[in-house]
Amino acid sequence: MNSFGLWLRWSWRDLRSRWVQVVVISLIIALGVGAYSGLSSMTRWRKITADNAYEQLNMYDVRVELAEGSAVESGSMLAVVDRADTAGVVTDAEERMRVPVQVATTTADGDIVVRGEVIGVPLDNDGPAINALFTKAGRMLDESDTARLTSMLERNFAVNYDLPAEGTLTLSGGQQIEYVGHATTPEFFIVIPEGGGFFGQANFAAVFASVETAGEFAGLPGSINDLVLTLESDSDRDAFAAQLAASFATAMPDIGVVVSTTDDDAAYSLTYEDIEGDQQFFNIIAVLILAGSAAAAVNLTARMVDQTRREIGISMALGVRRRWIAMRPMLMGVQIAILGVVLGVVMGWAIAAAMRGVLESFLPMPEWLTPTQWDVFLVAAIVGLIIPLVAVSIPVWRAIRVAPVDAIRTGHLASRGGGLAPLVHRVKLPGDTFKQMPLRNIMRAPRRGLLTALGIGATIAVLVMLVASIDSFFGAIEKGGEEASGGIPDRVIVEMDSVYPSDNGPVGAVLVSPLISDGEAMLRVGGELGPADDPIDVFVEFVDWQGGLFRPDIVEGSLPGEVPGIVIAPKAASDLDVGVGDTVAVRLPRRTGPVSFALETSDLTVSGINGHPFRSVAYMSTTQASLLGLDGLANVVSVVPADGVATGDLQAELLEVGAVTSVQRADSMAQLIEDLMAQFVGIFQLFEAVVLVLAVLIAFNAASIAVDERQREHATMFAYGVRRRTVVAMLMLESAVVGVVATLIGLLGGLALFRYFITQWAQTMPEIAIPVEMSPATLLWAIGVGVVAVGLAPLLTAPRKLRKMDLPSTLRVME
Amino acid sequence: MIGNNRLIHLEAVSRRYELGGTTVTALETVNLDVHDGEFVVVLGPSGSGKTTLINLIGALDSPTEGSIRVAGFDITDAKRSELFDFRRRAVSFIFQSFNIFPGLTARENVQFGIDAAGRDDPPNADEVLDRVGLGDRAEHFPHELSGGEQQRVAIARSLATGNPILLADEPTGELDFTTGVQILELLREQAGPGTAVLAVTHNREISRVADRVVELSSGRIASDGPPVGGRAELADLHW
Ligand SMILES: Nc1ncnc2c1ncn2[C@@H]1O[C@H](COP(=O)(O)OP(=O)(O)OP(=O)(O)O)[C@@H](O)[C@H]1O
Ligand SMILES: [Mg+2]
Repeated sequence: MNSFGLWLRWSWRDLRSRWVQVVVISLIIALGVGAYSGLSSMTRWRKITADNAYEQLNMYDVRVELAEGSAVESGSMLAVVDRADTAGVVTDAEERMRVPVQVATTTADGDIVVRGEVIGVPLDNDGPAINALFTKAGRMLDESDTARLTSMLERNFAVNYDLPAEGTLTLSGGQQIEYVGHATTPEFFIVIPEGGGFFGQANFAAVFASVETAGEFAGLPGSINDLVLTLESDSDRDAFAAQLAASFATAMPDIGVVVSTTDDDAAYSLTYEDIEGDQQFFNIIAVLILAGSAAAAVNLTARMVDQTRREIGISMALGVRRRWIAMRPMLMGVQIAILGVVLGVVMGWAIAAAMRGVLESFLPMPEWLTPTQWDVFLVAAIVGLIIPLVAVSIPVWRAIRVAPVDAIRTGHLASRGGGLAPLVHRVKLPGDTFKQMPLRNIMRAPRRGLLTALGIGATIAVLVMLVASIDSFFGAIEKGGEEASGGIPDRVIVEMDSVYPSDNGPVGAVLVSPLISDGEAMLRVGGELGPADDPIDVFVEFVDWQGGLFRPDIVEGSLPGEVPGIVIAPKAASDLDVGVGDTVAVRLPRRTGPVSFALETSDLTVSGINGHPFRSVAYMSTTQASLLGLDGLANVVSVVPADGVATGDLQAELLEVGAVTSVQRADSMAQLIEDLMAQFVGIFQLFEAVVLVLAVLIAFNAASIAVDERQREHATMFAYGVRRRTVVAMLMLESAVVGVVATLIGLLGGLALFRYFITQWAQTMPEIAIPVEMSPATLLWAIGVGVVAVGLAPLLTAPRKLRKMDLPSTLRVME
Repeated sequence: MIGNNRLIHLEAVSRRYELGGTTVTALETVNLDVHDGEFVVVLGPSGSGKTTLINLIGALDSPTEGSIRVAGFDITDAKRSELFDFRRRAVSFIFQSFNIFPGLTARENVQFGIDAAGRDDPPNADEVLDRVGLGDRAEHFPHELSGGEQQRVAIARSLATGNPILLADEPTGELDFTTGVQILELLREQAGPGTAVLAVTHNREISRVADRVVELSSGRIASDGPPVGGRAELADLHW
């Protein structure tokens, strides 16, 4: 028999009688193909868009910053570069003036005050050439703005609060400045909050103005404190940076200078690492979904082949060539593959289109490049085609190797009691026959059950991973909020623009405010921990451990006592590989003059470990402030609002005190991140829904096949008066048992993936320690999907099929 | 020992299939009464309507015309759920291809019959297996049993229900002659006070072990009475 037409017709009938199952598997494959191609396209777009943006806005190669609070006369930093031996490789250099300020403005929801920075840039020659500004709204600053109080507002901040393209800002001390547009620049593609992470845009406002204007604001006209350089493209950035650092050390011995390169720029490295991290995440999701669909495809074809094994045997006996015999089930594989890939490409295109919108609103690149990634779609399509074909060929290959005599034998398969059935038979199962049969059925064909469980397990793993990640991330943020409050629920932090005597002046003014019930002047400085070439940024708070108001948790070790010691975060301890009692190098600014600080390294003992998930949090004792030449001085006031005083009122009142740059709840950062993450949670929930649908689809398919396969058994039961709902309940029980196994696989797999991602995450965002823990909610999710949803899946197919069953002919027909 | 309890009563029963314009008549105005204690063999050539008749009695199928009463139930106009109850409590099927559950052992298959009927005083599965001579094979799975043994398990399963009417469609169809006769003998032993057995065969020789033979031809009852030449013992049969 080699009439191709007959075979095609036959295969068409197969398809017609199984179209629901075929469509379902195609859908599952489509989800995998779609997820991969859609999400990968998005990664590509981010990558080419970022490359283009850094190129277009001329990201610096090397940057030189003076220690916080320091400033020098305009031109003196450029002079150091000119004098350096390596000046030859510098293609361009610009001095800037960065001034920490507090920025107040009015949004639709009321007044806000956030920490910010005026970034003074050269406006001659059409604005800064290095780290250029890109106008997202309004107009660009020009030379005429040099002498005026005009500025541009950083775009992430503006968008976060939905601010108009033009407006007025109030800076520290009540000074007002106009802004004429929204700008973005490489350093702010992602706004990194103090202490690391992302989503800084809600409480950080960068204001771009002329370098002259910035100097005026600082009260230091004609000063600068920042230098950016670009180098010849083939030069060695790191070597240049090291030599430049040496030149500065000689030229400005009293001022701490930090020389960094492009790679040290947090927004830059986060942009790229985030792209890579996300791609890995997407790859795993897609691979798991494809694995699930492969398992489902193998399952369906294996069962279809089993059911037609007698036909295969008869064909063999009639001398039909094996490749013709293999063709029928293989054709079904081809149908599944083609349908799956077509649907998948459509789905991928739709996902990509949806993601384009999300990207454009979240990441303010100057311009988005989103060409269709044909090669990504091609790879996904090929994988989507190969998987069902391979899946189908395994059972087909097995079937055509069976001796014809075995294949023909009546009930060759049906009467097989094999599998693990004899094994469980020894085990006494509870309940009557109707409860035992489902278990027996699974044990009879354990490989099938396992295959189904693996498919569902793969999707549950994705779900567990997603839910666990969200849980843990929020857990860490919340913990951070609690730690920052230090046991004082309403703790509010008032920051000053510089250090002041801790009992009079602006600090004293805050402390006597009638709106607070208690307060404490504190010192908080930025510094570095660990080796000079790979340091960890920290904020050290000097805590009064004896009489103070704020007393953070120490989870290990003791308070910094007589000997100078430091309490660091657990993440810092593990990254530096130090423990309590070890010595660590700490670089802190030491005051060398009214506006100059030098970074000074001292070796301190790690006296304790705090409980903060943020790596940057460190504490010392107030008694050690003298180390920095800052004894009796404070730059932060920790206050507790009086009863009934809202944070907003307190803000309004305290910001009137000059020198106060911000008034915020200690846990505000945690709350902000939580609020912002809520938007992302929506996307995660979409994924969860997709995965849930997937698990149910696989279970549905398995149930649908089981109903077909057991037709005769079910007909026999009906002949014995067993009710349809009993049969459906048996199918549900069977499905639920598979669900239990799938849940176990999913939980273990999901936890492993989750661990892997936390490790990856730690590399992308080392500043936050995410605990590897699974909440009861995650567990419930997994069990809910795995056992309940999968257990209910037969309801979608069995009642209808059983109702439609023609009892007499089912009983009569021989398999 | 024919009792006077009428277990099966068919009155002018017809069953027709409409197939794209042509009407296939499987049964035509069939009248039949079966009392307890009777062992009836339905004989007829292929296509004569034997399976149709037995399916109608077992309420797997419903008549196009006429009325059927079985074990006190009027199944002609019964609702679906009543038919389930009927099948659970009144009849018990034995099939040509056994249809015992491959995943269950002999004992468990019998236990299925017990659980399906859900009687208050359930019999013991092992005792029922003993009755069909398979007491020592209780732990075996169907694929470990011969065809005749599998059919015995099927009989034990229907006996286990304790239902008054056993319906067997070609129970010997897949068995050799001797085994087939043994199976029929076994079925005949089940007919007694309160119970009746109706078995289908197309083998005239085998039908001679019955007390009563109902012969079908083209959907009509051609004859009804003791086997031609009288009831025969196994030894008298020719094959
Ligand atoms: N579902 C159906 N659709 C159409 N015709 C049917 C159907 N079932 C049975 N028939 C017809 O009804 C008639 C009687 O069939 P039935 O199965 O009762 O015969 P039988 O006596 O059991 O035959 P055999 O000894 O071959 O099993 C046959 O002509 C058959 O073609
Ligand atoms: Mg028949």
